[in-house]
Amino acid sequence: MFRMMLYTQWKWSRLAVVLGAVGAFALPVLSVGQFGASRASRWEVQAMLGSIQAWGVLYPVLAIVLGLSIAALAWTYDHRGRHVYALSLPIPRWHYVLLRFGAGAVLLAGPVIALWAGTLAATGAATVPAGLHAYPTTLALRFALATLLAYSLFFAAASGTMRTARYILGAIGLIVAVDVLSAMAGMNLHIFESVFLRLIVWPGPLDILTGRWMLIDV
Amino acid sequence: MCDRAALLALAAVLLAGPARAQDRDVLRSRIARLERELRSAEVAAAHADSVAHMRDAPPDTVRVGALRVLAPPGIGGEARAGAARALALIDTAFGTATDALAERRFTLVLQAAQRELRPVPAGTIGVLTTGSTTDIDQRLVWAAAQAMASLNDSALSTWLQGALVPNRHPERERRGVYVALVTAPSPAGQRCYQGDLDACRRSLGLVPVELALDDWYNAARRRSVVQELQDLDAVRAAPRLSSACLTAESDADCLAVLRRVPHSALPPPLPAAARFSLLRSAVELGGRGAYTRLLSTAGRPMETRLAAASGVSSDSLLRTWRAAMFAARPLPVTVGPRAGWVALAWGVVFAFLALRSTRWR
Repeated sequence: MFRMMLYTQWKWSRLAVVLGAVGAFALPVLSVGQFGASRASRWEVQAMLGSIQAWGVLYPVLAIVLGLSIAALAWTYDHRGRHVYALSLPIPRWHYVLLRFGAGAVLLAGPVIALWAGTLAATGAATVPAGLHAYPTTLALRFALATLLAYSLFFAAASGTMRTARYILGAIGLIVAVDVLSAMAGMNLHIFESVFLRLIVWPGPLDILTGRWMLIDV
Repeated sequence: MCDRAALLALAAVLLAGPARAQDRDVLRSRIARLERELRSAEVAAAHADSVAHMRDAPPDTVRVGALRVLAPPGIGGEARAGAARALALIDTAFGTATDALAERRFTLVLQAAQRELRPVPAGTIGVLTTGSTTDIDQRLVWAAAQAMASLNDSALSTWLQGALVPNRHPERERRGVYVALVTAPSPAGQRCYQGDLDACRRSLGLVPVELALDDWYNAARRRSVVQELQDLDAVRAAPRLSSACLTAESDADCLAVLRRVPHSALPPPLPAAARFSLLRSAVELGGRGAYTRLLSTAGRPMETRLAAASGVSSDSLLRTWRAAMFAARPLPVTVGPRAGWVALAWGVVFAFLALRSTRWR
């Protein structure tokens, strides 16, 4: 049953997976463009690191986009069919959700492997100056975790009802409204900022997405 | 008629009774309200008196070790706690030299009272603060560092290129210096990174600039430095040399231009933090008397002074400094086991939320 589920999800998400894999392979290769030059002198190292850092912003973005796409596509046809197919199967609902989740997670392996291959190819071709080191495997591992996390988050969000989505959006809107009103009243509560920081700073769930994403670093 | 008059009188009495009672209630409520107003007016007047008293009252004098702090009335506790914390940090950087601060007085000025800012008492150093212990601590550390810097001789000031501010997180400074060592466009810096202590001396400004200048920059960087310093009189006074440097890319002419530039105008190969970190290493090695020894050896070469301060040879000092930089090396894209497990755990939590979706219940 899992193979069937995997096959149907592959058919729905193959465009996203293929594009994600191409992007994941290209990103590290493009990021070391300057390092690949035969005369990468020490005087240009600072600029190279700046370039690597600028490209590094795209790794978590790609992880989020991939997680969002695969998670949303996993549920699109179920939502469209009002979950009749899922309800007609002789398996418990949790089992069905688990199969969907597992199939999506397996599909994510493609872009992750592509990124790993891209990092290995990029660092193999680049001239890494003394003092700097390449971190292809660590970066790929981090990308895998970030993608899986983003996928889980969006999978959970997409599996909910419209009412749940409205509650979540309503809660965010309420926090923003309270912040705006408090700012107008001269009290800067910064609730949104505080909540956001708790999400992205250790041990927040999105901590893995933040920080330095440097393929080559000191 | 008589009956009618009697009835009217009775009605008047019956009506007048409640009316009088009503008047009394109204009066009582008015009196109560006036009493409340009076009490709140008394409270406001007392508060105003208190504020006026505080404003005009003499400041509290807080003495913590060598630190003397004049604090506005009402924040004596915070000032004492902040000064104690500040002194502990200042002592780690300046040790016995901190005693020199006994000659200075720091006057805390509350930011809330900034509109009524009055001149701080003569002979004291004004320190603007929010009044919290943490802020007082930080501001006093900064003010004390500036006061200590004013004691430095000119050679030390020139070499240090700023005030040594005691730092609770020296590893952050060292991390920055490590990155600079790795990436600085300097042959001396590069060789220092690779372990050449003489190159460390050159890149840290311990060798006279005229002897180290060739090693500070390479040809490309020399050209860019000449370009950056074009507005200096020394460069403008040599148009032929600077033109040959910039247009004909003659490295010998670039070097000739740079030799004419005052040394203080030349950008050192490593940032000022490198020199601060070297001095901190010397103080860590030399103990509480290190900074005093540094000040007492004025007139001698900076390398000798640092060695005297640290109590070890300059080679040992440079080795220790370099090791500290390498120990503080930033950790790039790491996924520690803890971070990895936490990310996985959050993934499982979200997946579990999907299983528990209201759609399935």
